[in-house]
Amino acid sequence: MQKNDCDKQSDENLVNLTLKDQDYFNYIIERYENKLSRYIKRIAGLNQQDTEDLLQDIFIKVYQNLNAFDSSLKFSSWIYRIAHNEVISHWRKNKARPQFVGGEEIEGFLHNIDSGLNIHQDVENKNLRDDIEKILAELDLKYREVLILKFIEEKSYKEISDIIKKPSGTVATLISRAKKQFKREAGKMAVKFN
Amino acid sequence: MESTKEKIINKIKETELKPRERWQFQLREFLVWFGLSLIVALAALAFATVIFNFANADWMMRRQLGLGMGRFIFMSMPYVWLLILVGLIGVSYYAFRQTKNGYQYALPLIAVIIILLSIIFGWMSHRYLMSGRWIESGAQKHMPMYQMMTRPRQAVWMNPEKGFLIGQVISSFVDNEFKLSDINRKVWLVSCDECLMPSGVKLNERDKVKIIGEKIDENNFIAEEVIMFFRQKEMGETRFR
Repeated sequence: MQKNDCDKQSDENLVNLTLKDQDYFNYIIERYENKLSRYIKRIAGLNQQDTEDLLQDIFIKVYQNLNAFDSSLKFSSWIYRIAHNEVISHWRKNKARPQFVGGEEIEGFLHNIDSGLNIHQDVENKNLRDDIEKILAELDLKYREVLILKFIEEKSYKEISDIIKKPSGTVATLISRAKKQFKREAGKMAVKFN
Repeated sequence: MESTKEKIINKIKETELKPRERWQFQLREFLVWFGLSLIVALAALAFATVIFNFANADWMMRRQLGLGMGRFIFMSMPYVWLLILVGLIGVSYYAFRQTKNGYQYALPLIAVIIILLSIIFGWMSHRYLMSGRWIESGAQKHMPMYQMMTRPRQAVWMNPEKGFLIGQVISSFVDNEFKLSDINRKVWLVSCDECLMPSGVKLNERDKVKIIGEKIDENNFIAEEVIMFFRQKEMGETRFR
């Protein structure tokens, strides 16, 4: 099959193709490498080398567990679930500070966490990015992960429920509490958003 | 320089990695459900034993034993089985969350379903299989630790001054007399000339009994009624010996 044809294939079809011919796994890696790499940095704050090493571990695990994938679940939720478990496990050992990749992430994050916030600041401002990274680092892990999944990865409640394996109602409660804790920590650090 | 993608593919090829077979995941899922069913069945049996204990708590004797309702219930509560039941319900919840889709359901819903299943199957096994009786009987016979834990409940019967005795038969029933070792290991000679006993029941050594009667002296007791530890309702009405 040509590369263009593979690009048009659904994730589920690519899984089936990979199970017949491992070379198709290339396309799954291409599709998710950058997304998962950014996700690792957002949660675990690893340097480039460590991020690549963890990414390799994640994709190896994905490959080994392909037969566990059930199409009743979205493939993106399933692969994020594996990535999430590996990242959390790694973070618990190292406890590094989460990182944002680009300024547009901060604007989007702040807007999504509270649409009442009116951002006029230069979101490329390193101080603002540092402040938000510090605030996120202070949050409980269970709150940080749902904030990142909801407001940066822009996952739905159902997808987050499938990724972190908790009921949707629990996810909604976690997000609500996470937002409150975020604002509280921002207040403690005297970080102001216009 | 190798890209991440190339490293991953090369590692897969070099180590000849293969995806795990589907049956392994199906087997895991089956084992989780099997384990869950087993735990719920055990919870049902624990509940059956709770029912049995409450049903055989000598409610009719409460006033004669000189106990208020609150104290009687407090002393009759089968705490061990209730704790086991709660523990098993907790383990069932955890097992359910390990199933493929178990995470989608909130704790209250899962807990209610497991409790309901335990109650329904527990009641059925108590009613039709007498499972509560067999479990209680087995625990009393074979688990010294359980005997120790249930002593406070049995102790309400340990009041010879008021005509109540409880213990284990330690001799044969000869000439309407037998020896009883009470729960404090004191030995009594019990006379049963005109006492009520369960119909068709022959008193044997090691039978556990409760006795209503009259204390004669420090070693002798006249029995008016002998009640087997596990009520012999199914053997017919009691008869005058």
